Amino acid sequence: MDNSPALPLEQTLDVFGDMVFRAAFGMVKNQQDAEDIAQEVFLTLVKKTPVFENREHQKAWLLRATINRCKSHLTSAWMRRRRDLEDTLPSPFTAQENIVLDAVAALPLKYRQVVYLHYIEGYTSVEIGKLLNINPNTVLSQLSRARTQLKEALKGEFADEL
Amino acid sequence: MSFEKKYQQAMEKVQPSSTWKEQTRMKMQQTSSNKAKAIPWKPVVLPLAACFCLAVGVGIVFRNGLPSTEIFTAGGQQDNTSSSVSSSPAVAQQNEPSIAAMPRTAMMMENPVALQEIAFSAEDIEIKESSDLPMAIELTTEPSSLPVWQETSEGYCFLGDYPVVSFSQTMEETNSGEERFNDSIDISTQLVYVESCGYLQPAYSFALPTEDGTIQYVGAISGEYYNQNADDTAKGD
Repeated sequence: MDNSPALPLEQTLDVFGDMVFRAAFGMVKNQQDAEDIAQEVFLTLVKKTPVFENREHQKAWLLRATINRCKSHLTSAWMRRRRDLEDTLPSPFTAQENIVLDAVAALPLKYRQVVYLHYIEGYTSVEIGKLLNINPNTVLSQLSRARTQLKEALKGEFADEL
Repeated sequence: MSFEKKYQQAMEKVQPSSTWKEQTRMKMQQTSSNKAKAIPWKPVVLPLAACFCLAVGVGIVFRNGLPSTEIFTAGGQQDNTSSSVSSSPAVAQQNEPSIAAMPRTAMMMENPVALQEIAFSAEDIEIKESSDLPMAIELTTEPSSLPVWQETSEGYCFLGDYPVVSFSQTMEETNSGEERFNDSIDISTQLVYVESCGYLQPAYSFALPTEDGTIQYVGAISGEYYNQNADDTAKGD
């Protein structure tokens, strides 16, 4: 738990910019959408100027704002009707990494968020429960169901290690 | 390699484009300056607008009468079905349409001439208190005392003749009395009327302690005439 004082507004982009973008990418798995979402999160931060108790609180606020924005983005009518064009840009990911990312992206959003927060941000079920305002037991069951679905999707890859 | 490691490895490669941070920084600064510009007028203008709307609303209600009163006054007929509880004047006027109970808007719609009926002339005004007042006294010399009247709920009440003192003198005596009686006496709170140049003028009486311990009321004369005389007397002395 990072109890150091919250960062001033000017430094938040440098310190948390990559994290917010990564969280958005982890939810939407699209570079352009993730950049737009992350930018909106920082603009919201400027508009609302919330008061943070410490840096951990600041980080949690940014993650939660990102997840909320991703939810709105993914459930928007425009998004539902969109058909993505073939990505012609070279992917930075290996074949195995792509399989993993696709498997996570195929999870329902509620599972995707707990998987991201647990495996990438390293939050415990209690911390995720606080952040998403849900019961820690719900977090545990969602993680368990997510693992089951990932096992199915990654059969023969890393299924035994999940 | 485990799923966890592979997932973390893949996510570590996720980076925003090179221009994203700069663009975001610029937009943040722009939003911040727009916010700074937009803030000052909101807390000032919104309450003022609310007060203005309230004042206009209250003004309309007082000018036109409450809409609910029209239920039993418009046309002079009471709507008994609308409410089981009705005010006593309305009950009394059930069979007698009254102009006084009718709101102005309803009255104007009903009978535009009716407004003239409630207009009054100067002849209708009767000042009852005037009969109790003494005739105007022409004051040619400086009076030593003046009749002091007090306004009560039943009219003017004659308090008696009180010596004429200057305002400053009265204040001095009052202050000394205040010190002597240690605020135990209510002083300078009683409104009286002093006859001056044939008119009653409002003044205050002051409760002053006397040598033998009783309290004497002294009228403080307001108006330039007596103050002028008092000053002249002081100069003459």
